[in-house]
Amino acid sequence: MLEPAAFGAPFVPSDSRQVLERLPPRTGREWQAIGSLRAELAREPRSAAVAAELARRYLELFRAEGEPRLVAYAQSALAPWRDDRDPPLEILQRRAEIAQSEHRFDEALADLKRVIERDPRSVAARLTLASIDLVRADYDASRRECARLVLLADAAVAGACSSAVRAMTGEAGGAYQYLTHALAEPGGLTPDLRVWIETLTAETAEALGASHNAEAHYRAALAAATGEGGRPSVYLLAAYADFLLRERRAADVLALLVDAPPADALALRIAVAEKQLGRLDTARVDSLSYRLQLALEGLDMTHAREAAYFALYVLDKPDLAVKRALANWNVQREPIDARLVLEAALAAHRTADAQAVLDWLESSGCEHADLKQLERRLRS
Amino acid sequence: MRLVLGVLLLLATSTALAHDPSRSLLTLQVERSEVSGRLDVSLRDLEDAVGLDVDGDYAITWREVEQRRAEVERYVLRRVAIAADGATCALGAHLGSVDSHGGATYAVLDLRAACAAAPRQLRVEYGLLFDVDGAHRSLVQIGSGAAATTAVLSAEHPSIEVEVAKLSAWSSLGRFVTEGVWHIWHGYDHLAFVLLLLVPIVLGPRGAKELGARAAVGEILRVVTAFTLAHSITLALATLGVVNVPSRVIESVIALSVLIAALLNVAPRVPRLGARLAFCFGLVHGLGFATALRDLGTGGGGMLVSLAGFNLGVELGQLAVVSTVMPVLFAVRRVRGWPQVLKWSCSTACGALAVVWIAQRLPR
Repeated sequence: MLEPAAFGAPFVPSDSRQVLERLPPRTGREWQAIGSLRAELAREPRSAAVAAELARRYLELFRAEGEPRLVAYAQSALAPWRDDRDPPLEILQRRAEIAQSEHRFDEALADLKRVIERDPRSVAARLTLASIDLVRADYDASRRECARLVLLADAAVAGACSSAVRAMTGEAGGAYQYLTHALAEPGGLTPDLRVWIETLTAETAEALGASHNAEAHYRAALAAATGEGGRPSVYLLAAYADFLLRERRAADVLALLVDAPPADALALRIAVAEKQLGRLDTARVDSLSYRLQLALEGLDMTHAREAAYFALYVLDKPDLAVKRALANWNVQREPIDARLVLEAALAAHRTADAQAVLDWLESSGCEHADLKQLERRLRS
Repeated sequence: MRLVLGVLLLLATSTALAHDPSRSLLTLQVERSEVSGRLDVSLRDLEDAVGLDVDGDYAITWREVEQRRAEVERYVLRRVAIAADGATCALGAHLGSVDSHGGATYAVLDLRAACAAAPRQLRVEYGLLFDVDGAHRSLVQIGSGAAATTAVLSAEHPSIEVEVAKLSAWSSLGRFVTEGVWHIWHGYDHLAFVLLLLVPIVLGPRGAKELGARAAVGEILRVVTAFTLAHSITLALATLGVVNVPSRVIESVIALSVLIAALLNVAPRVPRLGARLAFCFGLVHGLGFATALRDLGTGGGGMLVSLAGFNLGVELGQLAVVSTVMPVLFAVRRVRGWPQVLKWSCSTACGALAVVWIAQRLPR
């Protein structure tokens, strides 16, 4: 049952110049490009190339800012093709990426398969497919897509793709070696590729329990991301923050995220850091409670991971966290998702609820140090 | 370019975020043929839908909201529809204030819909923002009398139909049952009184011979029935307006009943009053329940429903307490010396509480 909305007291601002809301400034080179694409699209609403490029720009911004409205804008750029089963290829690819961002994985896969049918050499489609398969723990399918990339893309891309799968399936050591070699290759890597591989390497080092190396690679990923006026993705910041939180380095988390965009995934990490330091900001908790309300009540599956994280680490409601973490586990199965189930089950003394994840640990061969430790605690 | 994008995607797969959700809050109350309420829409959403940042400085002021008021009201009226039994009601919207939810500022629109007749079935259609943001949601609450139902509207489910008559009968019954249970569990004076009635039955009055287990259970049944009967009678009479006693007097007498029961339990050579005591004071406790029920509001036309629901809730709550306490008391009486200790400590604690309550509640 949905909780009735809590209403405060509405008020009439006494000063008409009082600023009620600040909008994120839409300035800078990215927004200029978006502005001219929008103008172009207004003149030619059915231009697939312009619409797809506009959607791509919005999605790119979304990765840096974590603002879900940007995904919505991307989607509305593609509105003319919404119910089109076979739109132009670039529209199909973007539509899949939007579905992926909103965790509508089945829809994304269907569109991607159609892209590949029509253009078997599409690197973007295969890479997106591989990443969805990986998130869904369909390791064989992911490995297959990565293997096909060998013939289509840069060796480093195909290799990193495979390493991401190997890191989850009992070959983290080999994956780590491959990735560090790839990083050491002279020249070659574009900044984006470097960010990706550094992040993967950091995560793999973490899986191996090599904190020192993980830290070095997270920092290198950040450096590569911020070079040439770029910005790190919310994903990278959240992953690094989680690493620091596990190392009980809350102050470093606050320093890392001091200028970060106001994405909820990052607000969650800040809240946990504040909690570790004993100075949790109640306004932040209230705001997160409001924003995640639907997800906490199980009515918004897109943010089930965030809801479980919030319930477990901020609200101290392990029973609720178990529910949300298990629902999320049915959608996505990355190490963080496994950790949420295991830790919530431990905290709630409901070890039986962790069974699905324990089974996955065994069948995948995942050797993530942190997860293995949780597994031992659950089995004892 | 495509390659780079694909690479980025691998990183971004699961970073969907709930940052500043696109969400509105719609509450409506049905009162005969009029439906009134409010719609809260975030300024961020209104900026996307109709544009509020008139001067383009990425800050929305109240002046700008006022400048765009007519446009916002038109936008809402074009996209929200209320119908009573299939006939559209004349809807009016006025943006006159703002409110804050989760750190974001929302425009508050007062809504008022005049329907041709009191609706049996109310239909609300909602279409704000879905074209801009497919993930937009509206949290809707529709009430009639004291009963309410909630729903989440989305692009996939943009409307809701509510059987107003059913709403105020069944869902309000459920709500009042819960309120009844809640009231007895949180009304420590009632709990203390019930406890004090049970203790001497199981643990025996001072010096007297203990009742056998079967006899004790029978006596508990008699006492609880007497208490229930008495408070149900006065609860009904007071709710229907037959009797009217100032609540401060009632509350004081309830506190007094706890003190008296506590004293009787430890006083020497007082016969167990049991059912009679339970009945007499039950009458007063019933008046107290009626006060609580009146504070909840009975809602339009739901007097009997709320009365029945609340009474049922009180009995369920009481039953739960009795069936929890009874086994504990029976367990205690097997241990030599404990019954007297427990009885004394229980009476002393409740008696002391009662004195505090009396002091607080005495009519001035």
